[in-house]
Amino acid sequence: MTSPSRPTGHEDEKPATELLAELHRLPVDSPRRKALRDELVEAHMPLVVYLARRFSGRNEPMTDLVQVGAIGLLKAIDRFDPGRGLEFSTYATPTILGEIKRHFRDTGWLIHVPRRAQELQTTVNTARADLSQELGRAPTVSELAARIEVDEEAVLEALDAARAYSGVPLDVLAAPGETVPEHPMLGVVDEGFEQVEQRALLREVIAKLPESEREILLLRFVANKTQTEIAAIVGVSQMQVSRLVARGLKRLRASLGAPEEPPKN
Amino acid sequence: MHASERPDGDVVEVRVPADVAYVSTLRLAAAGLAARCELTIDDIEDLRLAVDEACALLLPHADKSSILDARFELNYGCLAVDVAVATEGPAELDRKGFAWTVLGALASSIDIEQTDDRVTISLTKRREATSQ
Repeated sequence: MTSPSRPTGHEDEKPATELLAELHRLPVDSPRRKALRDELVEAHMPLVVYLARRFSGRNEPMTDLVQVGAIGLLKAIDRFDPGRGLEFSTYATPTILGEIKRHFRDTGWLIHVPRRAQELQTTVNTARADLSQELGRAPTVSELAARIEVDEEAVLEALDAARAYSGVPLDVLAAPGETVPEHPMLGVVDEGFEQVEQRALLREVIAKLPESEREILLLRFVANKTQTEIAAIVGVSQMQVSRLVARGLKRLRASLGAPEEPPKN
Repeated sequence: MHASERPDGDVVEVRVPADVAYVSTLRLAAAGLAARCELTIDDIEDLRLAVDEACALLLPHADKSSILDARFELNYGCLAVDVAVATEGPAELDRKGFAWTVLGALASSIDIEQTDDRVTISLTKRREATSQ
């Protein structure tokens, strides 16, 4: 269903429609596909750049935004069904935007936001992921407010903070009373890894972790992958990776005893 | 939310100077009202961008000292937004550019009304359907 006032008749859409129709007809292994896709990507990169620019001022390099936007464009090209009579740029726009928004959710931010909103935002993020799972759609503001027991205004405030985009809920890594590391790279367990004695112990403890947590911790701290990369490798969401890392670390810490205790010589 | 608390039929009007500096105010108003309509947070993100694009289409045609009129009509699951500016003579909105494309992709429906001295973009955002 398209309303008559929807954008129609871009001059550059005609060849795109034909290219897409041809691409759609080709067998999956046809070597011609690559050339067609390249041409389509090139034709629509200005749209990607335009959309990426909507998010400038959030302290992410434009080139990164354009790149993730291009991933969205590729997905749109592959998924587009020419039979549905929809304009490709109309179809591609939400896909490209989705990819850019996801990038912000996954990579953390550098823009200053009020502390309270920032803390609440961690909670909102978790509730958002949980509710999306339960409802099969994104939650409403009032649903979020009910779940985390704050008023809607506070959720809106936190969502505004989310527009500056936080990635990693770091405070979960810290035990009660412990100082929260300022930066994701300042992992709490690092000191433990440094100690040879503890390393042997750690190996034992790691071996006892559930497989999913073990794999993710190794990817995170040994292979030094980002949560986003791990999410792609393992095939779960970045929020899920975040939770598994937190849970795995907590388990490790519990198994090793109090982490703030200085190692004995 | 109880049925009696539904915002059905409520109308909110916001008038700001036709200046890009006030677009964020309209975005915020739209987001706050969309929450009253029980739109999902993804809908609200889309709506913010859609309001941005609508203003981007209108502002070049507004004369400097004029007013950007926004009218929001609230219903459960649907927010209708009209944004309008006074123009000197009939305005020719750019329907070939990206702003138009993006607006069309993000709003559930859009419409334009043009008279000799005024142009109005009407957009609605309905709550997204449940996937799965």
